[in-house]
Amino acid sequence: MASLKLVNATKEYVKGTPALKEFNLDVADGEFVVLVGPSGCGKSTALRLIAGLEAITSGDLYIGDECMNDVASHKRDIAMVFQSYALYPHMTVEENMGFSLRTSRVAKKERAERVLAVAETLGLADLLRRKPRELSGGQRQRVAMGRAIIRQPQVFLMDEPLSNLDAKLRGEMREEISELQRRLGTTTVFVTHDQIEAMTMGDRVAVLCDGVLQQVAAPDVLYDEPANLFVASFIGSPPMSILPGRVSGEGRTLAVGDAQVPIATDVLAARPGLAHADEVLVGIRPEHATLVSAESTGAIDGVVRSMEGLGPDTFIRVDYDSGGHRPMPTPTGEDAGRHRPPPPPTDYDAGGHRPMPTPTGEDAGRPGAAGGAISPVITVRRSGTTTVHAGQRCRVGIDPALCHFFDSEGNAVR
Amino acid sequence: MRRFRALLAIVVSALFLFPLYLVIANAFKTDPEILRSPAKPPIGPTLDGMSGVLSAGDVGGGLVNSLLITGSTIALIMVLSSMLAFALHMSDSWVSNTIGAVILFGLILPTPVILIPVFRVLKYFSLQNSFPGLILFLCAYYAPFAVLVYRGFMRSIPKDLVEAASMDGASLGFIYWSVILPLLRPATASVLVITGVWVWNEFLPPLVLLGPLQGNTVTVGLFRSVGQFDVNFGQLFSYMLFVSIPVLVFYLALQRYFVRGLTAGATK
Repeated sequence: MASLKLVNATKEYVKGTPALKEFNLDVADGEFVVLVGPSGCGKSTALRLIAGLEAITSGDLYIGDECMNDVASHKRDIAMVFQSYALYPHMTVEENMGFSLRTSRVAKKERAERVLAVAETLGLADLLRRKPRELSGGQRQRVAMGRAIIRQPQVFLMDEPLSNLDAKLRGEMREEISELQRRLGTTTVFVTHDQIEAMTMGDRVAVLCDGVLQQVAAPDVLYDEPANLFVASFIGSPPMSILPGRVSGEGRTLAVGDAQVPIATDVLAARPGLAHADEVLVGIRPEHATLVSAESTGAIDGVVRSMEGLGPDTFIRVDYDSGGHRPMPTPTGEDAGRHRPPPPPTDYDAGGHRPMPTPTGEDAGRPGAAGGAISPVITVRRSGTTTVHAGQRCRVGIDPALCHFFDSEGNAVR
Repeated sequence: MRRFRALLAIVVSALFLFPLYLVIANAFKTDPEILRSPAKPPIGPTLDGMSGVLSAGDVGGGLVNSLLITGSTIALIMVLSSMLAFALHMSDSWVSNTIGAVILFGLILPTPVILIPVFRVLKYFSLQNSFPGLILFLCAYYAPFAVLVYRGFMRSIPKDLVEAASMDGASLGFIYWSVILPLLRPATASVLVITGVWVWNEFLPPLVLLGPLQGNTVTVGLFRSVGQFDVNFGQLFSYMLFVSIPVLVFYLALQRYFVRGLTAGATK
């Protein structure tokens, strides 16, 4: 096993437009790191650089202590599981799994023994004579894993290996891969666009956007302390609601929607940056927003737009009055990609729930909606079912201690 | 509309099958019968024509020559064209794109236009009037078509396979041999059948490039069997039928892959 390090790694397919910009990542020996981000964010490019399938334009890649920039992919002692599995269709499972041993001229007998040992581990021993087309999606996925494992590499690379499976199988395979990685203790870099996979599988998660690394941290840290607006909006399902707000009185009061919410001294002490902040973006996780009584002070007036009952929880989406706060300017130029909020989610999670609609009609004209940073609604999570109905007036209570604050650059105010 | 289509199919099929019918029918008729009514089926068929062909000395030689030339040519075309197509498929540089375009240009050159220059080139390398010279020319002439078919088919082979094999430590040669070539089987069948028939039927190149001293191919033999003052039509048709059989057998053996190879790559 070995550690893995990318130092200022940049990849330009077209000169002047980097697909990956000065990417720094340090993966410890035996660690499971997940690269996550929307399509085109550079996560697969990063993986291909590590694999040696693409040349690094500038920067360095180390596996262990050795610089691998100019080392051919097959000499890097890494194995990769492709999104398509890349199984050779004309070869049997046994031949597929033993291919790398064949190229390294391992004797036929030893090859068969090693293939059988790995196949037994993965529950493929009965399928060794079958061709890939005779296997189910999950079995193919296991064969691809087996092909990677058999080489006993220093590093595993996995490029969205679960994306072709149905939701149920994906859940099972998530567990299997995590368990296998723990058992083998092999350093692993796993690429996905699915935040559920990222949050449940990785020891640490690296979030990318437009080729720029946004934050690398443990899943709970990413969720609780996002470094910027992009990470805050990307991690979490349904996503965090982002509202324009203003901090005044040296950080004593937060004006958000039509509400004036006092900020407690301990909150200010934990986030001294708020004392100097003026206009901010306020991030509220659905579980931190509550429906409160009409008499409650410091709550935001709104109208229930729609509800989604998921069984244990109901997500209530509330149209709110921005209270006249001007939306933040959308970052332009070099920083445009850095804190751009992620595109609307395509699904909430592996359960295949319906996506949030993108702002249309009157929402499209709402201040900030066009910029994409500001949520058109506040999403409130309630346990179980609710008697609230669409069109009903309501008040949404927020607790500044649980809110996230971002400055005009999209950076977290700490 | 459906009836019209069926009718059209029958008419077109008849147009293509009629010459074949003429060959088969007249191979089993006597000369006077053929001259009297060529389209009439053989009533009381005779094997005179067939036995005449088989007893003539140069037919076997022509068949061997044709088999040798066709076999060598299509084997070389298969290996070289698939290798070239693989190389072009793997590279996306302007150089490979230019090479691809130049190769396609070779498809539009008619044989008679280039035959004399080719003869001079072969002569320069002392390959005129020789089997290797003729085989080399036929390879070069039909390779563009084969490259076109292989490139079209290769689009359906994911690049992931090559990348996976390369990460598994396979050299490009090994990847070509053990991963790509087996997957190209349908395209190879198409290339073998089509170029095989074309090379088998080639007339002008063997006539000019092989010269008179190296023996005949079946087509040149057929041409030379037509005398200045005397033509034995029964033998001529028997000869035609006889030399068509290897092509027919070859096609039937590979037809399973044939259509798949031609249409692959056209759609995703």
